[in-house]
Amino acid sequence: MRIIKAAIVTGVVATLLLSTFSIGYAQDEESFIREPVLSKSSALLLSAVYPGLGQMTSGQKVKGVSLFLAETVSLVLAVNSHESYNTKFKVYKKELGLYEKGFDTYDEARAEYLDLKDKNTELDDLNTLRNSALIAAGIVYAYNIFDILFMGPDTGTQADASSRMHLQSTMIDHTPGILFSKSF
Amino acid sequence: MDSVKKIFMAVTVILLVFMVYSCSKDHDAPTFSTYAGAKKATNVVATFDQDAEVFTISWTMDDTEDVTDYYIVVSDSVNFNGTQFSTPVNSMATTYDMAADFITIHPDSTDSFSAVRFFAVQAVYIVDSGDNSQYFVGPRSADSDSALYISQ
Repeated sequence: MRIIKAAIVTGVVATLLLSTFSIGYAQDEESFIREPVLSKSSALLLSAVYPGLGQMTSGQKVKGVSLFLAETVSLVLAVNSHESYNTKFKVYKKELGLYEKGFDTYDEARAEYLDLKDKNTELDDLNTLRNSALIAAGIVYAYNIFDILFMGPDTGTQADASSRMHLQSTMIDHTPGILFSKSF
Repeated sequence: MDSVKKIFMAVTVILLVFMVYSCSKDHDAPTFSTYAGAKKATNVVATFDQDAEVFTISWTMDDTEDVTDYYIVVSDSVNFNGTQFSTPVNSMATTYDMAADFITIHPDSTDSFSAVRFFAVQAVYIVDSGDNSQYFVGPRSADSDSALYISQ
């Protein structure tokens, strides 16, 4: 579990650095719309690796960063609550074993029962939290894949792009304009 | 691309289903059913004969199944979480005369004092009647008539 945590933290730091570099690279003042860097299949592959990466590299930086952060927060919450659950469960299991051995007086049994009941409620809450975080991570991942497949920008391939007409907004001497081009 | 889309959608659905069912809880809730058979004594009444310096405690026990003895508990706290003294009755009788040993019930007693004392009764159950008999002390009765104001 510690290895998974370290991998997640390393991934977060690496991707934040990559995002910062990518944002700087894409902000060309002559281009009104940030053009996609990779093809759609590459963006799909990146999104399959981690939510948001495909969007970030296909021009949808805000959406990409949002998906990335949402997935990271969900996973960190799931991992943390899972670890807390496992730690508390070990203690609870030991105390439950002692409780089931029996007591000599009703008062002792009752006090221990009430304590175990509180711990059981705490474990229920942690289990709900980790499941909710895991489901949230799954939903973000599913939306990320759906977005890249059906809603992302149509990057196409180099060969396709070159044979089509292009109509796009651009900046000409710091003035917004429209550029029409056709490749032969 | 259509087949790739279908594969990715299928993998995502499988992943979601796996996530929903993967984290089932491992813990079970504790139960108190083992001790549910232990009953409280009722109608506990305590009186004090100042001349004879004797407490008389009486009570009722509706269900005496597996009951083998009783404990009389005396405390200076209504919640029985202060100074406390208990003594076995050593019979199945539901009335008991206890000598007013003021040193026992009030360690710092002087020649004259006044105090409130609370009395309760606990049934003792026999759990295992084999060679190694085990006993279980049941719940404490809680009746307001068991409070006594003592003055000497």
